[in-house]
Amino acid sequence: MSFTARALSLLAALMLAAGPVAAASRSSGTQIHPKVKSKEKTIRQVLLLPAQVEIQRSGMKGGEGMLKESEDVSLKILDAVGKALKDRGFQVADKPPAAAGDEAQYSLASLQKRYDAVAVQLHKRMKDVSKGRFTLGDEVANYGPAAATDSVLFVRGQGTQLTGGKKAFGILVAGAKASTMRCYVTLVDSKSGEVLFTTMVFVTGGGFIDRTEEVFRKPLAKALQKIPAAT
Amino acid sequence: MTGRGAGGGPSKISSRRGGGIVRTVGILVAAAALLFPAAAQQSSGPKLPSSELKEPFVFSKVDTDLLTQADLLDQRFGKDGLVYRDAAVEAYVDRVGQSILPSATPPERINWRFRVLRDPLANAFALPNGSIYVNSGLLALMDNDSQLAGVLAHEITHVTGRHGYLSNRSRRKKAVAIHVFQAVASFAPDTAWGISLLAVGIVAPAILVCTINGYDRELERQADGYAVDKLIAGGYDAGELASVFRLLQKKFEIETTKIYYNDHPKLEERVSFVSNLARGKAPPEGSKPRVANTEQYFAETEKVLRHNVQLATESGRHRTAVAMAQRLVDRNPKSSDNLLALADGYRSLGPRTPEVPEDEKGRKEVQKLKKKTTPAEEEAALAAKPTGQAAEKANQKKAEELYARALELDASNARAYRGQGFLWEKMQETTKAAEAFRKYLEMTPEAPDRVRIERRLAAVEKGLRPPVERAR
Repeated sequence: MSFTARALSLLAALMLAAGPVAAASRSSGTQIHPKVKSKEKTIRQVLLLPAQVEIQRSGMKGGEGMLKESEDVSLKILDAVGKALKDRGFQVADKPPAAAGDEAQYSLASLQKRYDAVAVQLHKRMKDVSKGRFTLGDEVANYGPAAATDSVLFVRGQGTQLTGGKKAFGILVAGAKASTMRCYVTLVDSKSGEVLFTTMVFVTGGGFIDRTEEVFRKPLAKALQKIPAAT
Repeated sequence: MTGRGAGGGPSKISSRRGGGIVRTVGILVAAAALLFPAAAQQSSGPKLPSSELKEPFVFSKVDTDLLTQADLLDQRFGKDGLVYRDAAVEAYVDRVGQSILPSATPPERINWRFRVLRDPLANAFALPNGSIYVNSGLLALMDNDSQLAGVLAHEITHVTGRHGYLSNRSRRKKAVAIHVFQAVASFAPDTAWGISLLAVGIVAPAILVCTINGYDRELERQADGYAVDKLIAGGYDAGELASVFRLLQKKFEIETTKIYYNDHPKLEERVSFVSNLARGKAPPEGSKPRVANTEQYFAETEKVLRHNVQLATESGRHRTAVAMAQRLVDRNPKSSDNLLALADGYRSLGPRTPEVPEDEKGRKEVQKLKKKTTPAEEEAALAAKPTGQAAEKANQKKAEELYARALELDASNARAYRGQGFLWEKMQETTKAAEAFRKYLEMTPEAPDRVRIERRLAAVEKGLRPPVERAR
């Protein structure tokens, strides 16, 4: 076999190996605060804060940003979360509040950062939510819209969309074999700042960009079932 | 998000290795050479440009993609409330930036914008589209307009020299798979600060790496050299750029990772390089020398510097907050707002000493504590120690004095009453705390945190402990 023919067959094998993989999603690490479990604290209204989901394209030449896609997926995930919450009987604002004015924007940014500071531990030790370990403090109510509701919802996600070459490399040698996304959904008491509920949705095999709602809704619904009904 | 856990997903997958690796590596290396011929030529990386390119830069698709991402990042910074909005501060930074821009028309696809980022980390960076960002943390550290001009001139060179594009191309040619989330996690493993860097990392890992580690050594020297030239041509004292590097060597916190702008060996090298360069160059004939203007710099930036104190506190950089607030008070001791910022800083210090104790510097246990605990838990652990209790008492006393002084200067400063309320609540002086909260609510009926303060007041009246205390 000539060198060109060998190269072409190798290329064909790699392309085949890097073909589409069926998307699969599941929720895991779902945890509830003891006060919610014992119904001492009831969640009725939920304020959805803008989701912060970042997706990166990962190829053989390294990672590249996908800012536009990240923003689109952030909105779609938030939409899916909102629908899942409504289905479970919670009162949810249809859209995340648009921060009007610089001070309101700063206040929202501060709240998001406050969550991120706790998230470093929270995402590592999700089970500690059931021990009532995590709190953002009563500063949550500094953000006007949060003060007028029961709980605030934070969404954080990180996804990696693999290129064909990267998938092939992963299958044949080492490394990631499929596109993946991890998305954390957390409910926080808007009065005390205590973390009331958290879950992580893991998606593998892609689909989180073009079939976001389909991929997220089911695992979210399953996780939310664990929260005692408001009525 | 800086969560290491979140970044753990892809890394976990990538750590799984099947058998027969050694056998297949050989095949794949050959395949990679066939499929990606550019990777095989990595040793002949891009030729380094001069600070202002003599030949027009030819944009490839990779470059235009990066440019698109940079434009989107500008929008993201604005939308996420990361850009500091104040007409006077924006105009001042823009004026200083414009004064050291190259005289020729801007190169293709560059639109100069000078913006202040709400980030307490002392840093500055440029995007390839001409947007130059100075963090509020760096503004707070500097002393005068010459220093600001030096930093901006340095960043301008990265843009005119197309360093961002070149670094991106170089990285791709080397096929270095930098995983942005891992890069960010390794930079800020235990805190939420450096938020701007995460956003930069999303656009292009190459720029993130440059922002954290600096560009290629040659490109950094070029940028420093060009900055010295531009400062001299603009009548600024070029030696002030070296002063910025000296200021950056100050440490206020226990840092767990290095970044370029805060890296000692590199900074020392840059101080001597820039100082030597500045000494050897004379200003052009007819140029008017400017005196480094400390007073004007302070007057123009005072508001954002106060805002930075608040950001430092929110980011858990309590010692930085106190140090920066002290600078404000030293410059303008008659400002009630500056005294309030310092009082808030001491109150938020809690059980920490204002400076890192010698015995804690470089101690692994301290870093470990930071990595394993939430901010509230870390504070509780410190407060449980006798040294922490002593520090907390001293900080409370200092804060109490400063709040009183702030109110002496301006009795209508409602936020000073709020601060007193928090302080006395913590000190369990409930009557005084309730009175201070009531005063704050009376004076600011439209306060955005009204609901929170009303709840605090109710809790104080019932004799309850503050929510954070209860959470411990």
